[in-house]
Amino acid sequence: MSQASTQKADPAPLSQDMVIKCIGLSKVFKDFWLRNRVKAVDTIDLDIRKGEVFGLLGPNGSGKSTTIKLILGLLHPTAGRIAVFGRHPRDVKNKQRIGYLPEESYLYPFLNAYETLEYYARLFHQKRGIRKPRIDTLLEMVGLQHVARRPIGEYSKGMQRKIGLAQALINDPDLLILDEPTAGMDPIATADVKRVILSLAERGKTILLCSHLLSDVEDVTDRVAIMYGGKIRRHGQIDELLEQHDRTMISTPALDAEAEERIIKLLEEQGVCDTSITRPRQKLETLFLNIVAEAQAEGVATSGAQSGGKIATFLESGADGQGRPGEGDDLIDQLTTKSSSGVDAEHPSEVEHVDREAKAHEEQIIGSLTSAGVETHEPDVPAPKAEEQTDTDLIDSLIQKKDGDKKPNN
Amino acid sequence: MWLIVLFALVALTEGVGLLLVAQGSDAMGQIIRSVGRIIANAWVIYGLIVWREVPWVRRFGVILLGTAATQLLALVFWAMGWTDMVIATVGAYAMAMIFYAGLWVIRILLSPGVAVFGVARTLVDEAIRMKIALVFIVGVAILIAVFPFIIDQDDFLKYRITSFLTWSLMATSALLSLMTLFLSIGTITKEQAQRQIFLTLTKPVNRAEYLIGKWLGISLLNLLLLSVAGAGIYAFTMLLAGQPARDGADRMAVESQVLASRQWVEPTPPNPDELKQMYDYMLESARDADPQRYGKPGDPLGEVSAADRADIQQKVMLQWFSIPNQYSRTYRFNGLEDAKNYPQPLQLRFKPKLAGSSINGFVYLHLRINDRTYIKEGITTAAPENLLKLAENNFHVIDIPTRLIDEEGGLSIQIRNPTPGGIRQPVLNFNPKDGIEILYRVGGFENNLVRTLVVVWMRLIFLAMLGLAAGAYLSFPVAALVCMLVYFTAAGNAYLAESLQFYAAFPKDSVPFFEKILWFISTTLKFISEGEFYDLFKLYIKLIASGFMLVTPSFGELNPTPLVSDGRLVPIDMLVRAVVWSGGVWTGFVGLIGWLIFRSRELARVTV
Repeated sequence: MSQASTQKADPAPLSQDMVIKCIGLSKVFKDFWLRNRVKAVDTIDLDIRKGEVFGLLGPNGSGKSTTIKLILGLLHPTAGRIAVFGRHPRDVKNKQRIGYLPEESYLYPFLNAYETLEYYARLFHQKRGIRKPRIDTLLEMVGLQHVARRPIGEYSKGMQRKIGLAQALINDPDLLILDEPTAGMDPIATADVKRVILSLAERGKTILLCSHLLSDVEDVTDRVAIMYGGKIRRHGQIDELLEQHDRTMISTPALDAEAEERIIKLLEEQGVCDTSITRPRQKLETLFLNIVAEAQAEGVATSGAQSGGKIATFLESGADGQGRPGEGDDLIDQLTTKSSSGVDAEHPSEVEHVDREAKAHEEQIIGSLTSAGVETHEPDVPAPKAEEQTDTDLIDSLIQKKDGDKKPNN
Repeated sequence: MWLIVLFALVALTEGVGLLLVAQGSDAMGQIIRSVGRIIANAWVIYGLIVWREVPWVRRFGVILLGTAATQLLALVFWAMGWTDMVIATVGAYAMAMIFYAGLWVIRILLSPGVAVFGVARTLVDEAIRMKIALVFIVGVAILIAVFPFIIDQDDFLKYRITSFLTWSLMATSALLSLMTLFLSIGTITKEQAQRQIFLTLTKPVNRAEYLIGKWLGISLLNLLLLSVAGAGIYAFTMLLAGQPARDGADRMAVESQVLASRQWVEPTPPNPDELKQMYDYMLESARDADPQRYGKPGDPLGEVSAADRADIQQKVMLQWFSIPNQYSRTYRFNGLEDAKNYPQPLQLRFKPKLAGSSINGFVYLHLRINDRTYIKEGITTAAPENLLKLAENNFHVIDIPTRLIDEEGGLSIQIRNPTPGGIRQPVLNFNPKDGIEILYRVGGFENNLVRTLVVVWMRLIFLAMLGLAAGAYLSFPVAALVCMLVYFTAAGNAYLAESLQFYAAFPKDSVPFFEKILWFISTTLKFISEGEFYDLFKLYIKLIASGFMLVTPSFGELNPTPLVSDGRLVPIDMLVRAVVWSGGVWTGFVGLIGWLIFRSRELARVTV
């Protein structure tokens, strides 16, 4: 349920499914004379349930990062209460289940990538037999295995973010907190990150995502809360928040002018006058990925990060957390055949159809990227013919509806 | 693959070569073996370049390069005739190799998947790779390698070795102390400023484990560095000891007085009440002269201030170690039962001084051991006197056979101040601290050096925790300032205590606490009303300094360097005290304070 009022989402009672619960949470920073200087978080209520991908949005200084730090126990609330997995946020037992990627990659510049991941794996008390394969697969996943022995200090920001992401996943966390995860990353890496997020969500992991890049958030989150001035201004299901209830969009393969005229005429007959027919544009991200894929297919050399490999085995669905593969590949296949908004693929709507087409295109590109040298586990692109058939059916049904039902859609 | 190819190549060419030699084709065999070796070396170099990213290959390459560079440098020095530099170069190289190997061992020890080990291992990596520690390490290595050659080469060998031991141990201790403080403060303040701590403490690591991990890393690094320094000090000491001595006595002194660990016994009066009587007499005299300060005769001793009591005690000791002309004094050395078990003779070590002009720089005295007159080493007689002529203000060592130790395990030494040739000699005296004592060898130099390094290590362990505790709350400059203050206070505790004693008047120890506060208030008002602001300033400086010293450990009491450089046994109780107090109580106390502050500290700052 979305709310247009400021702050305070309805606090749900604490249950087994509740991963994060904040009640009346406030954080006031004081100056030397203990005068209130900044009210960073102002009496917010927040519930994040198991398996959710929750987006925390807001402009700079809206209190997103402060909220995350309160949840992680790095800051103490001035007022209100927080429970993470039903415990105090500073309870060390919680930390075993949390992965955290901060807004900047606070890594040791003198360690190399391998040593960095080894360090964080040790903090999770992982024995060599577990941590070594995990590190190898994570490095492969983020495409940095070839520079694993270079000091982090020599990495670009994007490469550091990738190692930051890898360290956040080293413990196969139940709760992943990502603060600006795609900041500084190129579109390829961004796509990889989103892929990982969706994969983890599919496994029932809970993800708290904080980002300025709204399109990234839109692609992966189930629910969002939008903050401003330390308060939650609006929150709810992403689909509900974004859906324009007073508009309908129909997507079809390219139509000739005659067909377009017929449709407009048909709609006018139904009393729909505010109609436009345009050619859809592909996303810039898709175009970019396509160009990079072509370059990689041509074998153009780069000293930077390579494309990410497949998702680390231990993170895949069905893996038991010990690095053994389960039914992850199948589930990831299922995942990528769905639209990013999470709408059921068996009952496609018109809106979903647009997304699915873009997604299919993206999968094609990712497939071609990874086929350049890295094994791909991306799903097959849905057969275009079937889609065309679906589109034709839709138009047919619409035309038939004209005869049987004169009531306008909107 | 690299090694397999290498071994196969060597085995093949050497095998074929030897086979050909065995069959009489010497030339061909040698050619094949030579070619094989050339190819093998080329293969080694190729492997070092191609697989340089593999950690163990990189390590191997560093060792190989270091060895080659050292050989080259040593060869250059040797060609130029600088043999000392050859030795110093090889010594520094050996220390570096020990360090490298030790570092490898530490990394293996800290490799298990334990959070504390993870933090500790990263700390070690930070210390080495960020080059903060490396500067100090190189400094220690260079100083130890260079010290033997900057000491006056014309001096007695005994003194050269003593100087080397003193300076090298002091330099090692001071440099490692500074490194420990900078490293411990730097690591924790930097991680908070650069926020690496966010990632570490959002993992299942509590703050105590984080502090312990850091402390463990620094302590292990210090252990390694002390081991390297110890190995260097030992090697260069042995190198010095192998050099020609000035004479036979010098050589003997090196063996028996420097490269040894000797137990020592201080003198006591034969009559246990002798000192007490002297003290009472001196106190009564003082009370007669100044009853306001010392109290009336018969007043309780507690009424006399601690400073005055210490002053009288010092005067008593000075008097007891002074022998006026024509007088004699007997010094009793007890507890020598164990000395009978050692083959070496006892050493009577004394340094006679005169309270006036000497006769041509010499001191004359009569010496009797267990009521028999000392003639010369190992020989005593029943004859009443034998005049000894000794250089004034120099240490003299006389060997005394252990068979002279009496049944009670003691030895009585009587010294008389004579009138040689009718000339009245001024008062003969000895420094109460070490002016006259008996020493006997109980072990070797090695054991002593190890004990010394352990005591220093305990000090570094404390400093590591101090730096971490300070850095957990304060910024780097402030924490460094506080820690340096503590360090210098701890190092100069004895001197500071002595200075403060006479700096300003304080209430007597026996005065109750509440009355002391009243005294401070009234004295403050008095100084203000009289305009004695400088006295007021001194009073409060002493108050602050005394309070600070109260919570600061004293390194002076646990300083083994003078002992080891003088060939004295570093006593086991010093070792135990160092472990218990420096490594245990003080470290634990400071760590607890640091943890209490750190555990409730907000690590993140305002970012909106």
